[in-house]
Order: sequence, then structure tokens, then C-alpha cells
Amino acid sequence: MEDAIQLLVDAVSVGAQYALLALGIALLFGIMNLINFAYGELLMIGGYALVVLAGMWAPLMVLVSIAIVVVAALLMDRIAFKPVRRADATTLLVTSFALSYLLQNVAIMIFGSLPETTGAGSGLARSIDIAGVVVSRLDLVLIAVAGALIVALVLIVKRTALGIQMRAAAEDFEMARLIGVNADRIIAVGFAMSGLLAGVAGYFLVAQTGSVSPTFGVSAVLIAFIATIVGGLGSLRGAVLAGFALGFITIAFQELLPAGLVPYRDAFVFAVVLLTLVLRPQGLIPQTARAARV
Amino acid sequence: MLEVDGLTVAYGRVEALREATLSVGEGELVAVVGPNGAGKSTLLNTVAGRHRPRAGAVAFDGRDIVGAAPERIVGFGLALVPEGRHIFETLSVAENLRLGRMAGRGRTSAEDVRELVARRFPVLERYADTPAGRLSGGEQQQLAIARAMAAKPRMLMLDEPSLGLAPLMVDAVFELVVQLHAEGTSILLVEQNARRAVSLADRSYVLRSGRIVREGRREELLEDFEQMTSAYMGGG
Ligand SMILES: Nc1ncnc2c1ncn2[C@@H]1O[C@H](COP(=O)(O)OP(=O)(O)O)[C@@H](O)[C@H]1O
Ligand SMILES: [Mg+2]
Repeated sequence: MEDAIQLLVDAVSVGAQYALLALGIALLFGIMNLINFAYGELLMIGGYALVVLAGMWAPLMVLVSIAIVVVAALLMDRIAFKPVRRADATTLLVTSFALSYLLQNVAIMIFGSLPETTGAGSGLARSIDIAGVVVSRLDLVLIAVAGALIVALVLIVKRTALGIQMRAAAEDFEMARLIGVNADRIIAVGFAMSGLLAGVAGYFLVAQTGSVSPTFGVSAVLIAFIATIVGGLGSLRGAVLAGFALGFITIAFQELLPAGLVPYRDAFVFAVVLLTLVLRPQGLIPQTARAARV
Repeated sequence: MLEVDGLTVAYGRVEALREATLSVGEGELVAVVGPNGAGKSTLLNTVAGRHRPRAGAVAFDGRDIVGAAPERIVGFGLALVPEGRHIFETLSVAENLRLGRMAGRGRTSAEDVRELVARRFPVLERYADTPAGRLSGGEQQQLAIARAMAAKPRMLMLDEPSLGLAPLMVDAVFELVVQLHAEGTSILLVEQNARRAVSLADRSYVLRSGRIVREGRREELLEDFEQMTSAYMGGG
């Protein structure tokens, strides 16, 4: 029983992490058809911010690092994506690849290609014992923070005037402008939210791995990208759902595979992903309205 | 109220609109008719800020609006209901209307919009929480117009509002245009349905191959309508 609960906590925690990552990608895809591969470099920037800020009071350090990532995301929009805003999806994709590569190389120039270790998040490393179930504080904090962030984001998108404008822009950008939606502002808000998600996810990633390298964000963004596709490109609910599903499947394979096969866990996860996409090519929650537009 | 002077618009090397000059006065209902491909949508879209003209001037209330972003132009009180309606299908009817109200920048309250819908768009009342994509074509067209009117624009531009609707719905939409006009909204109406549009409008322009080839008041145009058929229809 305790084992089962521990596993469940693991699965929810990994799932929450993936869901955060996937939301950051899905948000921007929804609004501007952009698959932002440089999202991984936002994670990296957050990671190095924690390295540089080492020594600061921990909670403040986390907040400052997240703020830095949000600013980096806004700068990304302003400098790299705004000039190509009217270009087609392929141009945007190539721009995001180029930006990703550029930022990785800047990181190599500044920090070298070897991982930098950091104690950020060590405060969360201890496990706690709740009625015989041992769970890590990091997992619990991650679940609480990710859960709150996801709920807040969903409420903003579903309920507020800003959210209505974002959904309108996501469905039909040109029409949204004709009915008064300020295009630049709404995209900037999308980038800021995406940056917030990356800042938080990046912090938890650092806390888990204890180090940062120039390619720190690459595998995380791959997972996020896969979750976004499986969820149904552009669907926020789909991205969250698929993020959690990926987390659960990953932990399930981790536990159930024979010891010799555990190193190939991710291959099994991706096999499930492929199978899902064969059965549901439009993803778990297809975006019919936008499919018709593209 | 709206003054378009020598407007030329090109897509690449193709000139879709050539030195078009027209005006719409305060409270006037003006129609632009012409065959498919004449440049009617190009005209409205350019005025609304979606295309940058190659030459010419557009003034709304005396203000030069060439080059202004679409979201600013609707803020000035000049709203476009584009061809094909373009309601937000995944948003509810109420959310579509709320977007319109936001575009009005405080000109209308939620109560004003409720009143407007009850008075002019009663079919929409029971659909408030329905995704707009579920409405019929005619209802969607009414929603598209209601959304624009929720901003309380000083002038409304309608691009082929009758396109693709069942005959009864076509009647309803034209009736709506007449009512909005009677309430004082200035309207620029673009239609392929020439006879119908010309008979509603105070004045009309005939557009062919990007050029305005005729202009006149309702009586003048209706009088020689039969002879003009080939001009309206482009011979086909
Ligand atoms: N986005 C576009 N790119 C290239 N050509 C276009 C575009 N939109 C319209 N055209 C061309 O411009 C001309 C006028 O089109 P349009 O303004 O849509 O006419 P109408 O609304 O009167 O049917 C047509 O020849 C059309 O093919
Ligand atoms: Mg047209």
C-alpha cells in the first residue's frame, strides 16, 4: 500500500512537470501557430540564473530567476519572433530552431559546455514521512505549485476578458484584430505566460538534477512537444491531460519493466505515443475549428 | 464621415482596386455592388486596415486612417463584418458579444448589449452559452453583425452578409440592415445581390475589375437598372 502511494506521488509529480512544460508550448502554438523550440532555452536560462544567483535567500532567488525567464521570453518575442510575425508556420519553426541553437552556443561561450552544479532546490531535497509513506518534499511542492499554476491559467483563459481575447486570437487571429484585440499585446502576454511556466518548470528541473548545462532544456522540450502533439496541438486541456498521461506511463514502465529493459523505458513510452497517434491522429482533444483554418 | 480617395490596392503585381473614390455621409446607407472578383472585399478590407494601399487616402471623421492597425480602426468606431462571417466558433455566443463590447472601449455596457440583442437579434438570446459554431448560417451572420454592433460603431461595413444564406434568412439580414440604418448607423454595404442592395441603399457605386464605373442615387440607378444589368453582372 505505501509503495503504491509513493508510486502515485511519483507519477503525479512527473506528470505535473510534463504538463507545465507542455502548457508553455501549447499556449504559444494556440495563439500564433508557433512551435517554440527555444522554449528549452528558457528552461536553461532559468537554470543558469539559479547558478548565478546562488547565495541569495532561496525563495527570493527562485522568484528572481522566474522573473528573468519571463523577461527573456518577452525579449524572444520582441527581437526574434515579432519581425517574422506575418510569415508562415515553417519560417516561425526555423526561427525557433535557430534561436535555440544560438542561445545554447551563447551559454557555451559564457559557462562552458560542462554542467554547472547548483545547490538551488537542496532545501527541498529532504523526504518527509506521512503516516508511514515516505515522499520527497520536492515532489509535494512540485505537485502543489504546478497544480495551482495550471488551475490559475485555465481560469484566466476560460473566465477573464484577457482569456477570451486569447482564445479568439487563437481561433482566428485576423478576425480578432478586426474586433479590437491588440495583436502585439496578446502575443506578448502569451510569451510572458509561457516564460512563467518555463521559469517554474526550469526551477524544478534544476532541483531534481542539481546541475545545468547548455543543452539542459533539450530533452524537456522534446517531452513537452510530444505531450502537446498527443494532446491535440493548440488544446490547453489536451496538453495538460497528455502531460499527466506521459508522466503516468513513464513511471508505470519504470516499475513494471524487467530490470534489463528499464534503461529503454523511454523507447517504450514513445511506442505508446506512436500508437496513440496512429489511433487518434488529431490528438486526444482535437482542435476542429483550427484544423479547418489551416 | 468616410472619404476614400483614389485608393489603389495590389496583391503582388495584380491591382485589385484602381483609384477608387467614394464617400459615405453621416447616417447614410451606401452600397457597393459588382460581380465576383471586382474588388469589393479588397475595398472594405483595406479601409478596415487589413491591407496597405499602394496609393490613395482614407479618412474617417476627418482622420487619416491609412496604415492604422485593424484593432485601432475598430476602436475609432469603424467596424467591419468580413465576408464569410468569421464568428469565433469555439467561443460561446455571449463571449463573441463580449469581444464586440470590449472593442467599443467603454462605449457600451453589458446592459446595452443585452438590450441590443433583445431588440434586434432576438434569435440569439436563448443561445448565450452555446458555442457559436453550433448556430445555423443565418444565426451566425446575425451574431457577426451583433458582435460588431456591440461595440456601438459609428459606421458599419458589411461584406456580402447575404452570401450562402437561405432565402428567408437573406430577407431577415436585409431587414436588419434597414433597421440599423433607420436607427442612425452609417452603413457601407457590399453585395453581389445588386438589385436588392441598390433598392435598399440611399446611394450606390458599381465596381468592375477594380474600378468604380457608376455612381448614383437609388432612383437613378433603379430607373436604368435593366440597361445596367450587364454592368452589374459583368456580362455573366
Ligand atoms: N489575398 C489575395 N491575394 C491575391 N489576389 C487576391 C487576394 N484577394 C483577392 N485577390 C484578387 O483580387 C481581386 C479582387 O478580389 P476581391 O476583392 O475579393 O473581389 P470581390 O470581393 O469583389 O469578389 C480578384 O481578382 C482576386 O482574385
Ligand atoms: Mg468578396
